[in-house]
Amino acid sequence: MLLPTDFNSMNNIGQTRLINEILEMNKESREFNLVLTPRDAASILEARNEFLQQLARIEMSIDVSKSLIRNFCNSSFITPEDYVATLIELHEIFYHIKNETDDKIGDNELIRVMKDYFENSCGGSLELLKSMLASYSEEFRKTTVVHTLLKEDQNGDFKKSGNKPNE
Amino acid sequence: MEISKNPETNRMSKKIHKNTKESKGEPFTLALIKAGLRAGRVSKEEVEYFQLQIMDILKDLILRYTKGESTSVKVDTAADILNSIIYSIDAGLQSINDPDAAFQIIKNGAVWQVYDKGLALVKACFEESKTLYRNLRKSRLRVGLEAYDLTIDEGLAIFFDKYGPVFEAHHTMASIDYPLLFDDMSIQGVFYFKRYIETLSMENRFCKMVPEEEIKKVLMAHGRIHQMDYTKILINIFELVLSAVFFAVLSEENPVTLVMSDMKYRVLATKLNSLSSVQLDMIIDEGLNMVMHAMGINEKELSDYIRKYKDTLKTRLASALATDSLKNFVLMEDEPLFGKIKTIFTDGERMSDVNFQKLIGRLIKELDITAKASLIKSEVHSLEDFIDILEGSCLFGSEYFYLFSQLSDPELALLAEVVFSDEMRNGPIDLSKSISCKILTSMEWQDQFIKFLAGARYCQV
Repeated sequence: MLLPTDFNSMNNIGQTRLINEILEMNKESREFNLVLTPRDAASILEARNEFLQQLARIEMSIDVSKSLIRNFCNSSFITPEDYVATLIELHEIFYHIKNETDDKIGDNELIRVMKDYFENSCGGSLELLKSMLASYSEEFRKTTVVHTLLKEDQNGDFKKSGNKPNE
Repeated sequence: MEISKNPETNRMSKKIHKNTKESKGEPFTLALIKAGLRAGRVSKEEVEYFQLQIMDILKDLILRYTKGESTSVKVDTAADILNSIIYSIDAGLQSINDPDAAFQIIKNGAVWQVYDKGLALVKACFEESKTLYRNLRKSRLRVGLEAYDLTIDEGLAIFFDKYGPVFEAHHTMASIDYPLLFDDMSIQGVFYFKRYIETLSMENRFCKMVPEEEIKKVLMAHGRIHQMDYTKILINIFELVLSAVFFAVLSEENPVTLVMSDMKYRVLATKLNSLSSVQLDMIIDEGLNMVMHAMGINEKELSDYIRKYKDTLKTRLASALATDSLKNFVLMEDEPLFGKIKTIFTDGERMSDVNFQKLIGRLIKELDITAKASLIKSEVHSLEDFIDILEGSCLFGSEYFYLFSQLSDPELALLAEVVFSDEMRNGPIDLSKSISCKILTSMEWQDQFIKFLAGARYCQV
């Protein structure tokens, strides 16, 4: 019987199709002088699969990879020389933060935050981005806890457990 | 939750925890696939395609789970959703009830079809269970048993609050403490809960034929035997009531008078003790039929459930007769020797000489033995003081009997150790033999104690 973890490797079955999907993104990035070769695309996919495995996650599609390319290819901090390495590191950061925020943040929102920090606060530094996102995820978790408690309060859970805030 | 240390109580005390993500062995779908492969009914390629289709459902559900906001999830989450899918597919395949048709579905890779069918069954079962639960709450017993009340009010309520047929079909998110007489633990998820509620409701229907006050008496008598607060015991009410009704009909008592008088008990014990194993088997059969007749039970499911108890009843009864502990099984209204929860003396708390002399004076003046016993209970807290009282010439004749009857078994054993100290030097003794051989002692209380034990038929210390 297949296990969920087989999902990532199942994607390998259609490896060529996936590489072509990544290469399709060149249409958007070429404008910024950033172009991936089939070997680059394969490296990115291989790294992605490893990160997913290491972080105990499974992914249904390569939409995240395509979205990272789409959102970061216009960055002035990325050069053709470090394009592939940067994309690989962005994948690692992305999945790491997904775990850290307990999947409470959507893919698009996280990529938007990453791009914003990368461009406006980190000056293109991936190390700084990691550090800032660590603080961001911590703050996000705290906010989520408060939000959950407030929601429970609205649902009367405080009342149920005898912890009425106004008593 | 309190669990009795008494083996008799433990036998009936099952604590059941239905938790999330618990494994229940191989799912039906996987067993079917393996059987199909072994028998050559499906090919490896067909099975692979079937599995890919399951993954397709998983992909769809993960997107729904994340509300389309995320294309990836943690492996644990995915595994949980996959188990939920398999649970529904199991329900769909099992409902077909035709192995050929089931293999055909695997061959055709018609997974979505069978999944949808199974999910519909799970949802329908959940809705049915909600109705059954509402009825259960209305028709519940009010006898003060904590495990019973908590299971109905909280354990089951949590399940209905948290359960989700799509993503958590296989979950059993509840803590069910109350044990059924016969519980099918091989099933899980909502199908387990439906079965549990149906069975508990059926047990309740039977118990409702008896006044709740009688059930309370039975529970209290059971608590006395095991020296426990009956409200804390993990015990199946149906089993207690059924066996009490069984003994009542055997004694030609009113079947809903569950707690037996001492006289009726003696007659019953004599009758049961004279039976061979074959006769015991026959009388149990006959007795259970009499129970169903006396209670007017026509419902097949309940009749079958009662008959299913026959083997357990026979084992328990045979064991009680063999170990001369029938009194732990047949519940009695007034038990002169058993079930003294309050002990009179504990070691190390001796009275002062002044207080002791005052007590002796009051006991001599007092004519009523119950008042004397109450005085002793309230003032005496050590074995030494108790023996001094027994030797203090303040009790007469049958008063000793009454006082001994107020003692708990451990207290009687302590006194027996004093009286039979010579005999016990070389280890445990057969008390029934020692009682008959014991030459009268020089102390009245010891002579009275031996007579008391002879009457009580204690066998071993």
